[in-house]
Amino acid sequence: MTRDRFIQLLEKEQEGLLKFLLALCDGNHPEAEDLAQETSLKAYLSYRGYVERFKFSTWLYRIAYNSFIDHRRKKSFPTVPLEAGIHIESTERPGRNEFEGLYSAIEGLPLDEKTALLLFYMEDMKIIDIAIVMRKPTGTVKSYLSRGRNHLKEKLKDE
Amino acid sequence: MNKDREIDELFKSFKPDVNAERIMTEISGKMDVIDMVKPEQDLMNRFHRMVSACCFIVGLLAGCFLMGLVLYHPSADNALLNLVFTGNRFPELTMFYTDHRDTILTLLAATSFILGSLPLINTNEWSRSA
Repeated sequence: MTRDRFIQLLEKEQEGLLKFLLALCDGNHPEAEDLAQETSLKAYLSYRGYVERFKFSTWLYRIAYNSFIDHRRKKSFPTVPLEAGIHIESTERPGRNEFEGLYSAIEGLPLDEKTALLLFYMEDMKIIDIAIVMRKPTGTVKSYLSRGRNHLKEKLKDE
Repeated sequence: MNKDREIDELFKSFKPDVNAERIMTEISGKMDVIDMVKPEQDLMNRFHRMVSACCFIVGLLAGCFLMGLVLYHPSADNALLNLVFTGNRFPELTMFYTDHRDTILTLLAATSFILGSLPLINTNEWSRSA
C-alpha cells in the first residue's frame, strides 16, 4: 500500500472512527480526538505491514480499540495532581450535552457490550469484522450484542 | 443477526460534529514529522540490533571458550597465564589463579554469557518503544 492510498483510506474512515471513539469515551471530545490521532499515527507507522485481505476499516478499528484499552488502563492508575489543593477538575465533559440520552444509556454498559453495540449499530459492521476488531470468537460477539441490547433496553425504559 | 429498531434509531440519530477535517490536518502534520525522523530512527534501530547481535555472539563464544578451558583443557593454563600475566611477573596473581582456576574461569564464562545477553534484552525494549 502506498502512502497516498493510506491517507485516502484514512480520510474516508476518520469521521466514523471519531464517532466511534467519542461514543466509547462517553462524549469526551478531547479524549476521543487524542485517541483518533494516536490510532491514525500508529496505523501510519505500521501500514506497510497491513495485509489487504482484511478490510482497512477493520484493521483501523482494531488499533483504535486496543489504543482505547491501553489508554483506559493507564487512566485507571490513580494520580495525584501537583496542585491538588488549588485545582479542582470539572466533572462536566465538553460537547456532551447534545447527545446526553445516548451517552447516559451506554455509559454504564460493560466495555465489551458497548464496543460490540457501537460497531454493529453505528458502524454497520458485520459480526465477523467485530470479532476481528475485538479478537473474540463470533459466538462471543453475538452474546455481547444480545446482552448489550437487553441492558440498553432496560436503561432506555428506566429513562 | 437482525437489528433492533429502537436501538438502531438511537444510534442512527448520533451525528456529532467531530470536525474530522481539522483532525486529519493535524495528523498530516504529524505524519510529515514522522517521515522526517523515521529513516534516522530506523537506521539507529538497525545499528543497535547489529551491535547487540555482535555482543551476543562474542559473549557466547567467549563463554564457550572459557567453559571449554575449565572442562577439557587444564593444560592450556600455561598459555593462558602467559597471555594474561605475561610470564610470571605477578607471582601472587598466578598463585591465586592456580588455586582458584575453575571458579575464576566459570565466573568469567558466566559473566560473558550474561553480558552478551544484556544488549538483546535492551534491543527488545528499543524496538518496542520505536
